[in-house]
Amino acid sequence: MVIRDGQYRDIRVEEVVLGDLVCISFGDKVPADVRVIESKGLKVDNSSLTGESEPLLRAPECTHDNPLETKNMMMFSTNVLEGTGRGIVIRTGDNTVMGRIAAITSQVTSGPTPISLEIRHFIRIIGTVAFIVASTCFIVSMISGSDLLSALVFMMGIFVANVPEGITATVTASLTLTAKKMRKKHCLVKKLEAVETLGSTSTICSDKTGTLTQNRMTVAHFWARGEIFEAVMCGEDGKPTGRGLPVTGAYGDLMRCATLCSRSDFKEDDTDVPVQKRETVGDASEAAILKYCELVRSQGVTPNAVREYREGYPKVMEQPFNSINKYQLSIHTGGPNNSHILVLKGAPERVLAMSTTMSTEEGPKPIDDNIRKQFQKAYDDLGGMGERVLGFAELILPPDQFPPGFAFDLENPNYPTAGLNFLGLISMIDPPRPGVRMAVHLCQSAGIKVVMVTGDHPITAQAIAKQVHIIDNGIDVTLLIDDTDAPAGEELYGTGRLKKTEAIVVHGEQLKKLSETTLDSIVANYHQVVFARTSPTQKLQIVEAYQRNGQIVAVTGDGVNDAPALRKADIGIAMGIAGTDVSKQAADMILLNDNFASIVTGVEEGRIIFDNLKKSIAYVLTSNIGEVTPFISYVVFGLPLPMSLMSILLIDMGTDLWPAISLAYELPENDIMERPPRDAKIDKLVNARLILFSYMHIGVMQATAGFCTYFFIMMQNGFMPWDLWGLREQWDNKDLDTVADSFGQEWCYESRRQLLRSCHSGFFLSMVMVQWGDLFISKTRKNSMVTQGMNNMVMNTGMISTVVLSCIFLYTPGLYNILAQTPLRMTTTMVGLPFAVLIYMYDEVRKCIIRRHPGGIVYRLTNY
Amino acid sequence: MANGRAKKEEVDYDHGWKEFLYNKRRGTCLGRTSKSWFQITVFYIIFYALLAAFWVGCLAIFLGTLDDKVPRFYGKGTIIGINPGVGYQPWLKENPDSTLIKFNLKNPESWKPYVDQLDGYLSKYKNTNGTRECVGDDNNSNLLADGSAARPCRFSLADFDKAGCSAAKQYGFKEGKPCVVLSLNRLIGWSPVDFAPNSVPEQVRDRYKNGSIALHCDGTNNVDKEHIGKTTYVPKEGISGKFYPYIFVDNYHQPIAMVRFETLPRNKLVLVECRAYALNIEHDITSRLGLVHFELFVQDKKE
Repeated sequence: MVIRDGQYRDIRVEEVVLGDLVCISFGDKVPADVRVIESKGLKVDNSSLTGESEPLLRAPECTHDNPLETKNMMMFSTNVLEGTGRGIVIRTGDNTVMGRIAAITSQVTSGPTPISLEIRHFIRIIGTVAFIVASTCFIVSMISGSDLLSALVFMMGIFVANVPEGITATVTASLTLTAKKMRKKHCLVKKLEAVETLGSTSTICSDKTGTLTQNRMTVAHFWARGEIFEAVMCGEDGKPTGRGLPVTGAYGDLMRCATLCSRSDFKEDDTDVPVQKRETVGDASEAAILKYCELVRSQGVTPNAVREYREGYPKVMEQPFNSINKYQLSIHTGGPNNSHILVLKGAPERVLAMSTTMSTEEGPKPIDDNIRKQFQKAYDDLGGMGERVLGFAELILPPDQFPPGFAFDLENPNYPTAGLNFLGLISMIDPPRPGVRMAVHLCQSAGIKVVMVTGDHPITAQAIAKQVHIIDNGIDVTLLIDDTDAPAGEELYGTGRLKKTEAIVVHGEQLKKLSETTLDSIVANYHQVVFARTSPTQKLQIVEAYQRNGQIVAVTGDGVNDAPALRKADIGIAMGIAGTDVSKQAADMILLNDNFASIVTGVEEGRIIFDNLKKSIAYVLTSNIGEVTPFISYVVFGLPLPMSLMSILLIDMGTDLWPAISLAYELPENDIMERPPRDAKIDKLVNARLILFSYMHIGVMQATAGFCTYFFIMMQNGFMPWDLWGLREQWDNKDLDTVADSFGQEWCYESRRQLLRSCHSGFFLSMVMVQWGDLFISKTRKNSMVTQGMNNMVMNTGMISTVVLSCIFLYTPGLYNILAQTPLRMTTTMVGLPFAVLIYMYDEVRKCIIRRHPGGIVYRLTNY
Repeated sequence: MANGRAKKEEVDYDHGWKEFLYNKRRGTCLGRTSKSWFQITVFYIIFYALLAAFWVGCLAIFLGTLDDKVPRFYGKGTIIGINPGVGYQPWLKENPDSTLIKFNLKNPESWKPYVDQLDGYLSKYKNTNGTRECVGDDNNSNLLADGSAARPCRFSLADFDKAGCSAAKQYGFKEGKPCVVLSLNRLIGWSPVDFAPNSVPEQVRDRYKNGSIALHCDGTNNVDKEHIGKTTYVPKEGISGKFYPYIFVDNYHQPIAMVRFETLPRNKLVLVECRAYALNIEHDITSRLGLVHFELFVQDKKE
């Protein structure tokens, strides 16, 4: 509805232009950025922009320089909840605040994921290693007199041996597997690689409302008879936790007032739903009080207790809340002696000023300085906890002055609004979700910094931060919340306003004025940080600051305002229930239950991925040595080739494949959530230690096993090791049918070929066997396999599969000829076994030393 | 560790390759201090020493299970099998991929390598230590039972000398009638089995004698068969059977025979296939068991 040329017109949102006068009423969506020039109880929901869940009153007065803060602005695409008003369109389309957010969102990108960086790094390393080894062998074999073709063949063989063929499959398998697991835990992973990113996250910038908190105002405390009480909460079963105070005396009066002085009611008679979850009409604080009253009165036994109670006190008059009065009152019949009761609630200091007495256990007492002091203290205490406080008062109207049926007049008040009896205070807060505190603690013990970034007020933010232990109780907090003048220049930790404390609360207005250095200093030095009253661009700024600090940042958010930050973050996490579509679009992951605790699961899963990938790579790389050394010995020592290219392929693309993938299914080690997040600069997926350990320790052991089998077969058939030395040329001579073995027997070429085939099969089989040992030790990086257990069924079947596969390769008639293998005798197959046992024992000892001496030399040399 | 409060360890990196090679600040070379290099070297020396010991130990145990006279697997059903291959000499070690015997009658240098090779090959028969004269029916069949006291039969080259295949005559190379040594692959436990009198293959029927392995050489293809000309076998009946079975013993004299190509064409390449004949020798072209291939090329043009 716009007014153009003095006429009302109904036009479409796209056709709204600058300068249009729009008429807005509740239920509408604001069609553009609009400056309010006229309003009647106009309230808008800016939550998608600022994250603030409260309906905000809009009025023509300008109250702030910031367009998001000031009361005379309504933003494009926000909802009008109450009232009507008119305003002038000042920005449309892409120029609106919302439009600019969309623009920022599409501009920022977070760059490649850590895992893809790691894989790239890994490929580079492996490529270099393979190239160096292969070209060295090529050169050596050329020097030692092989022809170009066979030298090339061997170079390729070594190349093939060095490339871990199964890694791609393993990466995909572990990512998919984890995404599936996460789905069960209510995390929807949009980008597969994001899961791993979560595991390496070192900072989580979390939204407050809806993520850390329940996004539901709840009565937390009340102040009656001079004491602050904790309000009973609604338990999981819908019954109150604990009994609370008996609803009598001063508390009874307070509860009566709270029950009656309300415009809120339950929407439906859905009494089987727990009180906390029932739908209500009215604003958040009224709903909170209503639910509290219902909870206290029903005690979970008598449903609809509030409604029944209210029926005993019919409402005769009501004066709604307005910003000038700052209170609302209503008058009910049903008081003692057929009197009327006037009940009133509002801003506490205002209510107190209207009262002359205060209800105590001993009846009303006149308000003196002492009571005022108590009140102020209680008010400050509750406010300091970030809670919204309401004061309550009542007055039993004398029946002689206000007989039943008295006509109360709202326009010209004919009822007293002074000399009331003050009843007490009720304070409300949006409480943390259950489990969040634990989750935050888990994150912290996993070395992840949890930073709260919220559009809420600093005090509330700080209070929630303390409740969920983002800020520890009882530590000094540096506050950067005063709207003082902009600081001169750059500030560093420990100087100026940045006091040497662990914690800091930063107001968005201040953030705007801080220099980049100051922000960096804040980000680098404070461990417990809360950003309050932040705007969308600031959230982005914060994320960038942390990224500059070398952190891997996860950002949670639900509002449109969070979208740029979600996009910029290394991993953006959107809320599935409360989240806007824009935020979900920008995120990499969606928490379907909006619960922060799910992030912890995600972190764990991400770390499992990284660990398991490491293990898988370690497993796959190890066999390379056993595959390369035969070629080297062939070239350098002139041994008849101990292992064929075909056998290498059978290992790399046959028997090794399933076990390598099965490591993706490996269960986490027990320290997974106790160690700090990996440092992206040092803790690479594949580092020198992993390669050294795989190649120089286990790999060499495997190679010895292979050679042992090779020599064993050769010995059994008459070739002693010392006679094999340098035999290559004669052996490979197709025309030479008289190669003598150590017993003087002469071998024709065909028999030699057969013998070598069975050596290849033997080498292959012993590699399969020692890879068993390798698989056992790859299961853990630190734990003993005894503690880790054998619960990974995929791996167990994988082990069996290697046996079945090698049997198929070696013993299927016809097939073994194609694969250039030979069936082996039973005794020969067992040669690798002692080496497999040796590998296992060796690694158990190594891990034991690592556990006993963390950071010791063994750790430094071999812990990958 | 509240909120990641634990101070991160200050990690000092090497910046770039140069510092990786030698970092003065940290006193590291290739990323390690000298102490670290020392430790790592000691570690690897000990580690590999132990591993090598384990490996050698395993091999030694396997070795201990083996007989030093015969391999674990020989004879029927093993890879080496019971079907001997045939070898020929002179085969030049210097040119191992070739089975061509090529020489020029005008150039003594051209056949010298072959003569030298044959000299060397036959020299082992001059060593008669530990051998005995086997006269008449005496043969090697009791060698295995004799154990360490075994004295294998002595092989005499006298027949060859008589037939003009002596070292003095440069094994016929000089005349263009080269003598080529043929031998049967030594296989432990293998002895020739005689043909039944009426089933002797026709190629060797006229020469065959019980107890021997008869030999027959012919051109590989029809063209070669035309060119090969007359061949003489020394001795006529082939390789003597009394030297079988072979056992692993010092100075075993492997029985050989020679074939002399009497009328080789000049300047023509002849592909020769020689087969050995006994009842228990099967001929298999693909695995070349029981036969051998080589090529002869005699030139007489001035180079």
